[in-house]
This record gives sequence, structure tokens and C-alpha cells, in this order.
Amino acid sequence: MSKKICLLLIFFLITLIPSGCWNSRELDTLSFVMALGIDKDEAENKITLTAQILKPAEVKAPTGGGMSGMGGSGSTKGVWVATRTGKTVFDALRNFTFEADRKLFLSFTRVVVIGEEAARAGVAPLMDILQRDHEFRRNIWVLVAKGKAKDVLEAEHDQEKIPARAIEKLIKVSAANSMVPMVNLKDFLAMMAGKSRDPFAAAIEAFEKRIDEGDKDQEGGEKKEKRVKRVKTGGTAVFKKDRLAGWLDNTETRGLLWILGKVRSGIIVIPAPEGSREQEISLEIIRAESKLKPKIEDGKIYMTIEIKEEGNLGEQMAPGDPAKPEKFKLLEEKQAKVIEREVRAALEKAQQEWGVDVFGFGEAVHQAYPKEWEILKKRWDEEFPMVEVEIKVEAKLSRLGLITKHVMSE
Amino acid sequence: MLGRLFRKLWLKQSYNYSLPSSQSEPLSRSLQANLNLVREAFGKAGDLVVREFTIGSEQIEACLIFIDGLVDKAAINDHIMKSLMIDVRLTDPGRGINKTEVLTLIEKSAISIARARKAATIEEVIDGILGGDAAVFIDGSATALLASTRGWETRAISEPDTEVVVRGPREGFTETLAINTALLRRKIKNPHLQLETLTLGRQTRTLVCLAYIKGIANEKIVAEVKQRLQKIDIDAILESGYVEAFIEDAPLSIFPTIGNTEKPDVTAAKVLEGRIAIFVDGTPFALTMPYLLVEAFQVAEDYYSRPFYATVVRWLRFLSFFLTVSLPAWYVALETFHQEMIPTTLLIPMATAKEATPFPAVVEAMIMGVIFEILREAGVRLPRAVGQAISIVGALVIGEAAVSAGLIGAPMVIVIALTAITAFVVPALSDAAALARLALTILSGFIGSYGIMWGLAALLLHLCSLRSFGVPYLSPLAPATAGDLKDVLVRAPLWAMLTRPRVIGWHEPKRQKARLNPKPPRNEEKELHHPRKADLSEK
Repeated sequence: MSKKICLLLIFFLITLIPSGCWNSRELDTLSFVMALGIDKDEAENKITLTAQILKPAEVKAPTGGGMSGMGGSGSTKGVWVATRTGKTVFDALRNFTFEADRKLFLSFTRVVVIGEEAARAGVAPLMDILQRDHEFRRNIWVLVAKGKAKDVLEAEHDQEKIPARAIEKLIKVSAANSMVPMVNLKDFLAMMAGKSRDPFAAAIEAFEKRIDEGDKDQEGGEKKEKRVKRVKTGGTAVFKKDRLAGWLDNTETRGLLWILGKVRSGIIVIPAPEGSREQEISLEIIRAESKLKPKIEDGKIYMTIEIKEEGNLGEQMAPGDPAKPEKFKLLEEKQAKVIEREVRAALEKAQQEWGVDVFGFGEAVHQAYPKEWEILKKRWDEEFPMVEVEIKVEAKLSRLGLITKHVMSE
Repeated sequence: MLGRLFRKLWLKQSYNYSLPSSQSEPLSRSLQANLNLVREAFGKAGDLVVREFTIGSEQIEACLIFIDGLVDKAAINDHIMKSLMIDVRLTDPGRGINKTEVLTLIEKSAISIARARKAATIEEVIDGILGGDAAVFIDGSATALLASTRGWETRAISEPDTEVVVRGPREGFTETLAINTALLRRKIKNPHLQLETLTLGRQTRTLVCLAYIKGIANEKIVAEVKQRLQKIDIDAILESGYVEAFIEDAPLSIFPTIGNTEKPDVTAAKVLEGRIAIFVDGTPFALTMPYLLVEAFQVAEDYYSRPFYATVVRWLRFLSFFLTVSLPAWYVALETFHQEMIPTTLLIPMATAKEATPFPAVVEAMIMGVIFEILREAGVRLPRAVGQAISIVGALVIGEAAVSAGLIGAPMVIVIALTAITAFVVPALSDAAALARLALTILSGFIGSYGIMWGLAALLLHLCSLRSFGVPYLSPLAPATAGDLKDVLVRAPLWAMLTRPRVIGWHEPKRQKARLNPKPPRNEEKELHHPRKADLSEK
């Protein structure tokens, strides 16, 4: 009996040891980092970390009523933005203890923003700790700032008290446009580790916005203006291996996403087939898919990009009856043209200008011609810009919405 | 270990236990001698009525003894006194009577009470009088007549407060044994229903009744229960809990291995499954055994309502039990050890609440838990009229004020409130759950979810080791009996419950005919709605 109990106790105690180290920490002894910004000063070889740390006392749950006077829009920030420098990322992280009275807790980090300078210098060294440390999650959104990451993290948001959450939501919402790639840490690391492709990430930018403080200030007579920092997303940061190669703008980003087959939604605007040039037609993308078909002939590499898209007529500002078969056909063709133009734009920049294989051409060739790839992979950097690309777009128009004709058409 | 300790203590205290010696003195032929015996036995008894009178025209000395309040006076007046004093006709006038035959003659032709018996010893007589019988002594006869005139004031049969149903019989047991057994008899009109009576408690001489169905109940278990009952040798049995404490299998477990119920329909259902019920005179709670853990999750109404929602509710009960046992522990573990497991959206309110409160999460949970238990206890004991004060104190002072004063976090109040509510969903296990919850919360305060896992593992091991009268406590889950899950994981339609629970009613497993599920008649349907032409033409 007692032998059994002893044995049981031993088993229980064993479960304690292999579980590793842990400690009891109350919630009010931790600093919850919601977003992390990484900047690098090349000249001084110093790493600057900016952390958005949750201020729980400021983020009162919206209980409504009573506190509305002080609760207003963004007047009190739900986070505290702290900045520390260090020789390494980890060093800088620990240096926060000089300023913050609580230990940084990184499991709730939703967004990592990498400054432009740091990105140009190479992100692989900066990302090591994000993989090595157990506190970071793999689904953190990876963003690259145009400018400094610090500025992005210092920006406020009108609807959210926690800017990190605002950024997170921005990325998710902009999927409706398919003009911002959704790349999380896991995807980014996978692309970076892959031998046959180059990574990309969403771009983010801080800008200044003037806000009229209005009649609050009556003595001066002049209207007082306040400058506040805001952020916006849009475009893509394209990397060559781990170094930032350049930026794709919104349309080019969609070109990239067409090729990758990652367009989920969005609006295609095409000039109306009849009427003046201002009267345009918007088509809503319903679904899209793509296929890369590589071919090697006489040592030359051909790539066929097959894009299948389906859209609905969302808006027609000019009179006319799109339901007529020939109009319908015309619209489909124009739609395909727009898509092709967007794809071309992305290819021109990434392939021709920077020679960056963010499209996964290398991977497609690797899969189709595994033997040839063994030779090709060594000089893929030279081969890639030379790849002859053919774009086949099959665009369909399916529904017209609740009405057929424009109200003004005869 | 604990058991050994108890045994030691018990051995130290054990001494030769002697009780008033039983008097089995035979009655004498003299009326006065017998009366003296009775008076002597009772001593000072203000409620003892001794009425001396003479029988009929023969003027035979006789005496009636009963206890005031235990008997039905109308019956005594009409069927004993009046019969004996006025209506009596013992023999044809003129013929001499044999004094020794008088008692038999009276029993046969004078006392118009259905239940009457002769008693030859003073012990029997006293037992009878204490049980509400009226004793008739006759001069010259060495036997007394005990007429059953039991008729004391009883509480009316009413709906039990502890097991309220929306649909189903509303009657509940009362404090009188005969009424309770009759209630069961009324549910099961079957001569195989056995009701064995025992007297337990040296001082109280409480009637205890064993109910089971011959042929369905396992004979070995019946014998075991009887044997355990006969071993009970104590002063008093005041409630069925006294019996339970002496015959249960795991007296040191927090889990009950004997069930109790106030409802005749529940008792009947259990007896029909092959279980044994024990009624104790003086309490409306009947004990049922063997008792399994899953019985706590089965409610009478499950079987009276349609099976679909009953199944959902049964799962709600499982969930509630899990929540009430472990929710505060999980909350404490998440808040102090595994912050990364909290969803981000939930973290913010939790961190906000924590910011203002002074105590660590585990202390907070313990304080709230203790306060709730105090409130509950006070609410149970308080008179109804004052009861409202408790809810005001509970809701306003503890709920509102403690949060707005920044003493307790609002999420913790919600957690404890949920824990409290869910505890009442499975009332049979609510005290076991409260203790398990306390242990788990303390463990989780020390080592987080490891503690919870340890605690739950220990709880499971313990539950697996329990037996109730030889039946594994966790069956039919462990050991698994696939067929019996029909009444555990789901509440199968009644026509699909073909067999009794294997572990209990294996003796006589078949409960009903198979394929009784109602379905529309196949051939008759057409005929019912579209009569054949031949039928029409006939008319």
C-alpha cells in the first residue's frame, strides 16, 4: 500500500521535472508587449527596439455611460510605447527592465514591424530570436515599415486604443482589397528558408495627420492644429534573400497576389465600354486561382501563368446594357486585360528590375524539372530575369447584381 | 493511512457496550400482576393510558393500555371499547365460560379491528404499545391482545423540495414508514416486491425496511445489505444517514456510495433495475444501493420527457460538474502561470481587473469561494423571511461593492458565480464537488495546470478504486459496458432501453420486448384513409 503510494508520488514528481522551468507570475507583474518594432542603426551597429506595452488600467472595457467623458476617441492611449537600444535584439529586450518595472511578456505580440534600414541590412539575424524564444508565437504578422519602425509604433489609431490590434485588423481587413499581402512569421520564415524563392511582407507607413482642435482654443483666434501620427498599409516589401530589395505599390501587389493565386476579393475598375472616360465600371472579384507552368526548351525557360478569375458586376456608372452577350464578352476581355496589366507591372519590377523571385518560379521549375533544377539552382539568380513569361488570363463575369440595365439607358 | 489512524482511535475507545436488558418475561394469569409489569416497565409515562373495565354481561375484568397520541382514538372507542363493553356476546346466555377461552373469543368475534395478534411476553406487549397498538389484558389469561390502532398525526404527502420536477409525479415520501412503503407498493403492484422489516437502534428501536424485487435484485447483494444492517448496533437511528454511515463502502471518500431520494417514482425505478432500497422510519429519505456515479447525472424527468432535450441536458450536467470542480482552478492557473494561453481579447479585461486588485489570484479565488459557501450555508439555515437579506448581501455587497471597491476582480466574481450555479446542477455531488474544487484551486495556486492535472488524475484514480456493494463506481464507463451507455451518454428512447444495467440487473437482464418503437402502420394506412371500393359499395 505505502509502496504503491510512494511509487505514485515519484511519478507525480517526475512530471514536474521534465516540464521545464516556470514560475508563478501575477498578471500585474508582467508587461504585455502587443507590438514590437525593430530598427537598426547601421552606422553605430545598434539595434533599437520599440515596444507597445499594454496599459491595462487605461483600456477599460467599454462599459458605456459613466466614463464617456474621459473615455473618448484615442485621448488616452491604451499602450505605452517604450524604446531601448542594445547590441542584439535580446540585449535590447532585456534593457527594457531599466525603464519598465515589469518583465516583458512576449506571447501576446501580434505584430512585428521591421524598420526600412534594418530590412535593407538583412532581417535574418534579427529574426533568430523570434524563432528561438518560446514566448513568440508563429502567427505574428510581419510588416516592413517605410521609414522607421518606431514611427509606426508610435502612431495612434482613432478606433482602437491598442494600435497593435488596429494594425492587425488593418491587415485582415485589407484582404478585401487584395492589395496587402498577409504574411505571418511562419510564412515569412518559410519563404526565407526556401532555396528557390524570395520572401515578401506587407508594407506599413506612418504619416502625419492634422486634426483641428477647433474652438477649444478661443484666445488666440487662430484655429489650433494638432499633428498626430497615423498608420496606413498598402503595398509590399520585397526581399532579395533577407535584404529588402524594394517596394511594390498597391496594383503591383495585386499583380503579385494574382500570380500566387492569393487574390480573394477586390475591385477591378475598367473604363466603361461606352460613354465618357470618367464613367467607369467596377467589377468585384469573387474567386481567382492561378497555375504556374514552366517549360524548358533548348535551355531556355518559359513560364506560363494561368489565371482563372471570376467576377461580378458591382457598379456601372455609365448607361448601357451589360446583359447583352457582346457587352458581356467585352467586359470579360477588359477585365482580363486589367489583370494582365497588373501582373505585368509586378513582374516588371520584381523580375526585371530587382531579379527577385517572390513569385515562386524557382519552386515551380524545381517541381517540374527536378533534374535540370540541380544545375539551374546555382545560377538561378541569372536565369530568373531571363525567364520568358506568358500570361493567360481567363476572366469570367457571372452576375450582374440586382438590376441589369443602368437606370438611364433606353 | 487515514483508515489505520481511525481504526486505532476506534480500538482505544471501544468498550463493552451494554444496553437495557431485554425483558422476555412471560405474562401472568393475574390482570393486576400484568398491569404492574407494564407500569413498572414504563415507569413515569404521562402519555400511557391504562383503562380498566369489564367485558359485557359476564363482567370479566379487563384492561386496555395504549399510548396517547400514537393511536387512533376513534378506532379504540368504536371497535374495542364499545364492542367489548356493550356489543359483546361471548356465548349463549346461561352457558358457563371458560376464562382461558375469553381472549380467543374476543379476538375472533368482538374486536372489529383488522390487524390484531396475541402476545405472550411483556416485551412483545411493550413493543406493541410503543408502536401504536392497543393492548387488551383480560383477567385469567396469560396472553394479551394487541390490536393495531396506529394512528398518529402525520405530515401530508407533499412535493419534495429537494427533487422538484416540472413533469412527473409530485408526491414525496413522508416521515412514516408505512406510508412510504405503501407509496412504493402503489408504484410496483407485484407480489415479488419484498419489504423486509428490521428494528435498529437499541434506544430508538427504529423500524428499517429493506425493499427489493425478488428475481431481479441480486440475492448476494441483498444478503450483503442485510448482513451489514444487522451489524449495526447503536443507540439511535434518527435519519437514514445513520444507516448510510454504517453500511457504506467508502466511508472515507468524499463521494457517496449510497444514493438517497425523496421520490417514490425514483425509488421504484431503481428497485426495478435491480437495486435495493432502504426505508427508515422517521425520515422521508430512502437509501438506494448499489449507487453509481452516473446516477447523480440522471434525473427522473429525463425519462418522462422526450429523449432529445434530455440528452442535451444530461451533457449540460456533465459539463456543469466539470466546471464546478475545476473552473476556479483553471482561472487561477491561467492567470498566474500560463498567461500565454489566454486569448488576447480576454487578456485585456483580465489584466485590467487584476491591475486594481490587491490579492494574488489564488487568494482571490479562495476568498470568494469561502464567502460563497458562507452565503449558501446562511441561506439554507435562515428562516424564509430573512432569506432575502442574504441575497441582497450576496448580490450587492459581495458582487457589486467588492468589485467597485477594487478588492476583487470582476472576472473572478463571474468565475465564482458560475461555479456556484453549476454546483447546483448536480445536487447529489455538490458537496463532493466543493471539496474537490477547493483541493484543485490550492494545487493550481501552487503549480498551475500541473496541479490541476495531478488533482484530476488523483480524483480519477480514486473514483476508479471505489466500489458500491461490489459494483465498480464508475461503471458503465469504467469498466466500459457499451450497451449501458444508452442511459449515460445519451438518454435513449424508452423503447430502445431493452436491458437493465448490466452491472446491477444482470440477473434478469431483459426489461421489455424488442422493436416496440412506434411506426405508422404500413398496410393499414391506405385502408384507414382510403377505404377500399368493396367496402364502400357494401354501404
